[in-house]
Amino acid sequence: MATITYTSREEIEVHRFSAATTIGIPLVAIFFQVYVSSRFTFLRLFDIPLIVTVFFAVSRRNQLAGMLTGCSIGLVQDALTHLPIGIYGISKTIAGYAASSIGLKIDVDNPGSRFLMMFFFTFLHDAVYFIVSRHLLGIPADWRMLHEFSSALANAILGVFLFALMDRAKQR
Amino acid sequence: MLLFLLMAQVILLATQVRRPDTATGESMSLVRAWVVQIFVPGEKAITSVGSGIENLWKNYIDLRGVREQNEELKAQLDRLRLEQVSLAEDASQARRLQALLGFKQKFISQTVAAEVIGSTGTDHSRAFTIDKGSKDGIKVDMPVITPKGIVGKVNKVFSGHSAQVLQINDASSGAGVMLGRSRLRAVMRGTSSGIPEIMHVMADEKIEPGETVVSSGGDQIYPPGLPVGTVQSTAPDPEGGPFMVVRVKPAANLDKVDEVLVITQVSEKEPQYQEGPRPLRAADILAQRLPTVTPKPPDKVGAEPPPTSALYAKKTPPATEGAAGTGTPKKPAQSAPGSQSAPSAANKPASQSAQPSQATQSTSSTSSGTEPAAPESKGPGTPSAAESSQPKSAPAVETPQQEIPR
Repeated sequence: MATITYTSREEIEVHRFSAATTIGIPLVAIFFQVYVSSRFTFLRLFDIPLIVTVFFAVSRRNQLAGMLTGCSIGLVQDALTHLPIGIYGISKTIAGYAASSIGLKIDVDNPGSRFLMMFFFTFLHDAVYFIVSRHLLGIPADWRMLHEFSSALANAILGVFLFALMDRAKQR
Repeated sequence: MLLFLLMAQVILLATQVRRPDTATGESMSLVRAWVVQIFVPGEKAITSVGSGIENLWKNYIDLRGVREQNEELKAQLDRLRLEQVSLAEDASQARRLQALLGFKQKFISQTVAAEVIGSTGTDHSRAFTIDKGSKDGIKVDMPVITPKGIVGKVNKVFSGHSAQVLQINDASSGAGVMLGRSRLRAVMRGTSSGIPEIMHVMADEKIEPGETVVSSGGDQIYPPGLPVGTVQSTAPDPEGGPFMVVRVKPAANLDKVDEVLVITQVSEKEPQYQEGPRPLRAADILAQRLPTVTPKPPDKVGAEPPPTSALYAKKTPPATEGAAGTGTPKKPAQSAPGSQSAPSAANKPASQSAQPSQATQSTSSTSSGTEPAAPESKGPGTPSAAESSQPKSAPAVETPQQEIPR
């Protein structure tokens, strides 16, 4: 009789998503971000595409899938800015990779862990963005600690609710 | 795999940075063009539906208080007309001086109104998308303004009906500006915090918060004289340099831009100045009402005065001299209508343009205060002449009432 330990793959839920969900949710997230934030500028504090990236990465628990999701979403976001394409791509690729790696080790269904996870990944994402834009491309950018902290906090709070909403799209 | 993806994107970045024509906007990467083509139709559709609902609400449902607002606007219009009259003379003088100096001025001759349909959604890139593009005559580097002030410039033009506008407060944006009071020319640059700063201003310059900032035209993008904003604060250089940090509050509300004007054509021409009828001033009217010292017959108007020796040689009866001194004889009274009718005719346009301002209470009260002076200067001798001159002199009497607020 086989023994099931807490580290076995059977205990780790690997979720799948339909093709429509895989494409639709990121597109809606990006659309919401670019359209609504033009009307309500305080929404720029949030990074809904990052929340979606982290959600898909931790749910699939697959590093390759996490990287590809982050890369795709980031490149689309880049294309809508006036900056060179790839800054968001690199940032979200790293965030997706890290999120899918962490998803293998911790319980990602707990709201508390989701809060902390989003807080940390927002910082990581913004730090990578800052390094790439300022030190790799020479684009004028400042690291504003208060702003980054506020953004991380806002994303963490919103992430808890959006994760719960997107859980409904999961398939076993 | 992670390294592969990262390397691929780094190479993508490097390719874009090295491509020279990307910065000018003449060509664009396919990824950007495709993404924009996917997102813009949806943004346009939602914007048009939203605008339709908003217009329905504004034009048909939410009309409360329109009557009161109309009255307020009418009163404001009257006040502005008064100001316009007082400023007209200054403008005329400025045009005359510009014409004398051969000064060439840039005029905004054509604009295209556009609606904002989306933004980048991030503070790292302060730009937005408008619903006008290459098919509407939009080109890269065209200035974008609102009635309040400049907003930015066209950064990218997509095929069809959309373009991207880079705001003046973006970190990669800049503009040539001039301070309103000190006339100091400088370069304003956007920052990552979204508050533009004027660069390289020496610390000993006297710049105070609230001072207006206008475009200088030195950047060859924004026409000179457009409002940019006001000085928000000044601070010493945090790095201890010889310059100071001048933060500017943009005149246009860059956080909420719904509609903009893209300046598609700027013409350069010399101002045309035509010598028109001189506007009548309060001092002129008062001078006309003073008793005339040396009344002249109409045929000798404009002739040179007689020499002083001739005046002394001429013997005049003492009664006439005394009468001329008091200003009550018949001769000045007869000449009064003629002397008043000429300036009133000359100043007819001024009085006509000032007529709407009579609606204000201040004007009517001033009018009643000045009217009693007219019969005194005309004298009692010729009632018929005074009556005939009354309608002509009436507009001329009202004209200084417009000038009094100055």
